[in-house]
Amino acid sequence: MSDILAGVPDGAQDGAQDGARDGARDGEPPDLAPGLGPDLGPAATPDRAAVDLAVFAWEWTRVLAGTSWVADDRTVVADRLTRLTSRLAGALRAEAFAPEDGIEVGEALVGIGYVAPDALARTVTLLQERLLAELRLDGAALEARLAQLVGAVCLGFTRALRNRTLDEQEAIRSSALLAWQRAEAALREQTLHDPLTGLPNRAGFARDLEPMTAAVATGTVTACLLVVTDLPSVDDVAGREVGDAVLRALAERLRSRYRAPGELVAHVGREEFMVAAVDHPDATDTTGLRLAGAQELLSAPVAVEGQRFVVSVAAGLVARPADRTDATRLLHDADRAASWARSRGRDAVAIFDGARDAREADDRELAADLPGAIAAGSLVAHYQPIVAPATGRVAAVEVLARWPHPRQGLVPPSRFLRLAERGGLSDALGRGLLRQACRQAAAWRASLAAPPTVSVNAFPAQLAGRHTPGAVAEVLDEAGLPASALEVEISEQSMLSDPRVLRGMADLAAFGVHVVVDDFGTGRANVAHLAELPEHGVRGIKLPADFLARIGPDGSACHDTTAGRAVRVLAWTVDLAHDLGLQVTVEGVETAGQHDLVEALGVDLAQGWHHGRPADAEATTRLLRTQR
Amino acid sequence: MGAMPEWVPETVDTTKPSAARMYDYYLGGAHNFGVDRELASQVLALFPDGPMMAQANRSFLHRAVRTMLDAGVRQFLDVGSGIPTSGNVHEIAQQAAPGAKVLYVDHDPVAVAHSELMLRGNPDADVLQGDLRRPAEILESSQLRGVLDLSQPVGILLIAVLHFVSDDDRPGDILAGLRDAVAPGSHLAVSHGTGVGRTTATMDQLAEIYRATATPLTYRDHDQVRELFAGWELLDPGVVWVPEWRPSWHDEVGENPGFSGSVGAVGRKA
Repeated sequence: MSDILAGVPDGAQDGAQDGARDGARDGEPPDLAPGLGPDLGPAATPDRAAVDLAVFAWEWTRVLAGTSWVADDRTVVADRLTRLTSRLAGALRAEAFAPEDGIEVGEALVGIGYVAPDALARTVTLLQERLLAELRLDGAALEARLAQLVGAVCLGFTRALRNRTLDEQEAIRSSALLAWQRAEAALREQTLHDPLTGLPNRAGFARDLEPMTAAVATGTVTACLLVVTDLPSVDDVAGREVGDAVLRALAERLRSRYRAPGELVAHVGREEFMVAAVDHPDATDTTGLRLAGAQELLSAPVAVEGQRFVVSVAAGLVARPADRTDATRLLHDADRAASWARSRGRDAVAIFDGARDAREADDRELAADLPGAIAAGSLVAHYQPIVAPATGRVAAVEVLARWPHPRQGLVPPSRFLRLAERGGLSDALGRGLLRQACRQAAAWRASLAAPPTVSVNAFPAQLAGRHTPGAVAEVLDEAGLPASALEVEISEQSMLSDPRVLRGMADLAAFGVHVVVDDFGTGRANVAHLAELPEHGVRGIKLPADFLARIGPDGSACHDTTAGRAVRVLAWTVDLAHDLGLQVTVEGVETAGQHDLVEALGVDLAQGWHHGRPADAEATTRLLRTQR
Repeated sequence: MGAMPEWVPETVDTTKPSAARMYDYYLGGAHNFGVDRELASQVLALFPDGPMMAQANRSFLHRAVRTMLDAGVRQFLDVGSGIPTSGNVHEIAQQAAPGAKVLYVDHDPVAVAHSELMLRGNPDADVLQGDLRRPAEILESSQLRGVLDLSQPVGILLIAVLHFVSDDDRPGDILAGLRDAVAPGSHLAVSHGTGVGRTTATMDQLAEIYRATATPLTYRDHDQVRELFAGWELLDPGVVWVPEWRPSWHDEVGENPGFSGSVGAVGRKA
């Protein structure tokens, strides 16, 4: 606006005061040269002209006061209006009419802050009624000039007002947009935090960890998942609100301890806090040391509403190179470690072990796949030869389940039998194998001169079922196999687990099936039980590899060593079993020496790698064919 | 647990009228939306003098700031600052005393965003999104610490804002808290909407209109406003209609200063 302030008479500012105004009003009208018109030069006396300008400007200021807010003190405004009045006077007196003067005066009004429509209305009225008189100007030509000037002022005012309005609209819209974006960002931020403690949640942890690990090229990230294992009981007993208060107190402890650069605390589950530390140049301790106190920090008593709570905290630790850290993985691994810690007892700590985790992941996969595999008949029977030591002939084969898993390869029963039992699938699994084995046995009977007995392991669940003998008979019928061609093995431990199992064994024996006790001497049974076996229909016992393992590979040993004593235990057991009319099978025969020993001891049947490993039906058939 | 962040993001809804933008409209500004003008026009139907009332408040603010500047105050806390237009506190203060500090506070996120855009590049002024009803958040904010030095006198400006604080929000306690937080020599300027001289029906209608905004109205009379100054030494002429408070020009007072609908005063902390 400074450009339009040029050309103001020096006296104008000083004259713009109350006194000057009164003086101007009361003073004599200045003398004007006759015929003064647009074509005339400046007013006769500069002082008089300045006073006239100031008088008009003050009137203008007064008229405008109240139409809008006034940015400046009124004397300052009057001063500015005096300059504008001077500009108008110049335009009236100029030889040719230049609309710029009026336009710029109109713009200047808006610039000062007179933006109300009323300000323009009052200005127009004032200019038309008073300007010529106050400036002591007269004449028809001036009237016309004034009309043009007022038009120019209106133009300038409305143009400036329009621009200002558009600017302000733009400003308020960008402000609204900015505010809206802020609110959105705040909302997003909120989704990354837990409302209870204000700490980052799982997603927030991942978001915050990323830049921390990115900041260190090399180094270690250590994370510790702290599980407040007692929290569910606090919730139950004292109420969820108290549980919330306990969590907030614990969160506060962690927050105030781990606030250094490269440290992060998150609330990743109701009773789970995650603390992570990244190697940082300013840190004096290693990440592991820094986290070591976290568990203790939470174990100190918490006071809530006059009650004291002491919570137990299981901790799962995981550490890895910062440049290979993925927050989701870190959370998962710490989670696993914490669950191992929990299973160990109160306030335990476990460190993540990748191999164990992989094993558990494989087990979880098997557990998930097993039902489908059993239903689809994907589990196949393999057969391990059982040999009569004296003749070397394969007298029987033990049926062992194998699971060709699409990802994990051939899975041994040690890995899936427990899963099957836990999943209530053992009956279906056992029956499927029995059916396969019986069919195979029937095929061998049809094609071989001396077909082997087929020995199948039974689950306790199978034998405990009331319909077991019927189900077995059905399978035998279906395969066209006599009961005598089938042997059922039941482990000593299972046999004693449930009286119904004993009844099932007896039923099978009565039916003509050969029943043997597997893993003899490894369960809770004592030797006294041997006496009862025949009455339950048991025809034989299988001695597990433990017996031979103590003796060693060459099968002979000095009398007064552990091995020597083990030979005497084996010999005694064989003799005792024979004395009770029980057949004896020894498992785990791995060497010729062991074979010679069992033969010498009069063992009825031997089984082990020395005589052959488990193999599928085809390979077993080939083996059987080689025998005369 | 005082460090707990307030995870309650303000929602921005420009389809809801805002008192701050309505005030801007009364002052002739265009920082407003259709919804604001629509509601403002209802107010203007009740109070054709609306723009004059807003201007009287604005003018009182300027005189109060100048009075404080004359008393040596060089930092200001303007709560309920609304939409900044030219002639704001920092312009007046920094013109009179270069380097004077100003912190604006408003709860309207759009007003705050606008202030921020306007204050960019001004190292001596900042804006905070805050609510007078939670003064601790204002006093403990990093923005306040960044701009104001509470060991030195502060001019607290509560212009046309306390009538948005209901009695349930305990305005007396809020003011006492602010008083305790600032140094001796600090000043407090308050202008407050009042129903004095108007009919109950009119005031009820006005209150009803403002119920559509986020900030309903509570009127107080001269005595009630005087009570709010407990612990402050009232400067002359005490609690008066805002045009009557140390007018620069006699014609500003007019024959009926009650047209302003606002009473105001300035106090000083001993």
